[in-house]
Amino acid sequence: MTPEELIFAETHEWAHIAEQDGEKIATIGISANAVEALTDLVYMDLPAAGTAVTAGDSFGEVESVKATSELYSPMNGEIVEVNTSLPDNLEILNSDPYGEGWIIKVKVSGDTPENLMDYAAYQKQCDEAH
Amino acid sequence: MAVDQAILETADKTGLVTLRFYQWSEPALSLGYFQNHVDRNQHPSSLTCPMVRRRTGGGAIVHDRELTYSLCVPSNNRWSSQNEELYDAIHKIIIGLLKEDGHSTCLHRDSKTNPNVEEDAEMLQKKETSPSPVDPKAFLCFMRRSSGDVVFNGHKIVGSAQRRLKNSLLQHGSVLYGKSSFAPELSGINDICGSEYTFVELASRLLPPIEDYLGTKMDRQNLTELENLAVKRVQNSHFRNPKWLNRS
Repeated sequence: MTPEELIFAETHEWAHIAEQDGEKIATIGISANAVEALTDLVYMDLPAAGTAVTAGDSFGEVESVKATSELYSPMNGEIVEVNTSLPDNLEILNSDPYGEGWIIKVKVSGDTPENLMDYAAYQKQCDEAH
Repeated sequence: MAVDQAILETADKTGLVTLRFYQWSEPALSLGYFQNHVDRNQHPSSLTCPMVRRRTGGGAIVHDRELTYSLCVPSNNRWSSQNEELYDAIHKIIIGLLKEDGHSTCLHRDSKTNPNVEEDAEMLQKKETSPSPVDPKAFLCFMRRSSGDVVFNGHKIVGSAQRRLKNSLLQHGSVLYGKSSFAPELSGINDICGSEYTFVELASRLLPPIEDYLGTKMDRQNLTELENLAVKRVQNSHFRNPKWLNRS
């Protein structure tokens, strides 16, 4: 996926929503900007499939050499799949943050939160922060 | 450390930039956020120390003859989005303080290119033996190295780590000024260069340059009511919760 196909949260997570068997499934990850800011990643703590997530609330944590950050869900719903190989292969987040570096898939409930941004708006937010 | 977390969690409501310098009422061990509590058995010297778990990552720290600092910036402060700059800046301020006193320290990433470090080698031999071995997965923070650590002739003397909560930022750090009997393998600044730094001196001398850097004059304040409530909450949920403290 390219970032232009995704929607972004202010807290640097991305989501890609697709229809699957009549359900809305959001694939969720963190942006290349976030990965770059975190620098060398060393640990990731992820929830199990079946966990309910709420938009804006933490669903996991990632640790780099310098910083620990929470991962926030951009969507409401239930986790249906977790990229369990990711914690042992964190370099994938650097090489392919919008593809192989996906973190969780969520069966979406309700509407897409209005505060999510397209890539251009997200990039503008990142540019303004520096 | 519960206070630091409470300040972080309320930073966006109070809008305050908060800097704390503190010592511990007795020598204590703080585990990095993701460390397994069982791993403390790898370090017999500190087994009798009470243990806490930090909300920031990295290796364990024996808090004895050291200065602990925390700096919290809310999301509306420009430093909250400039985490790398902030990390380096605080360390460079400490390097500057030591340089005023004639001690040439540097960031770990510069340690192979800093000629001043070599000038101190002779003095090091007089005061202290060779640096502790470095292990990237060591239990103790001060046995690890990352590029932004402050080092003195191979000894790590300052280490810091950050935690981001949404867009607010907490930076924790430790300035090791003396050897502890609970971590005798680590040398502090005083052991290496023969100085006599104390917590009070370091705190009082670090405050003005940090204020200058942040462009903020710090006022000495007690915790706000909101922060006090948050302290009680995070003490119950985490810092006094054996399940969280002893997690694997």
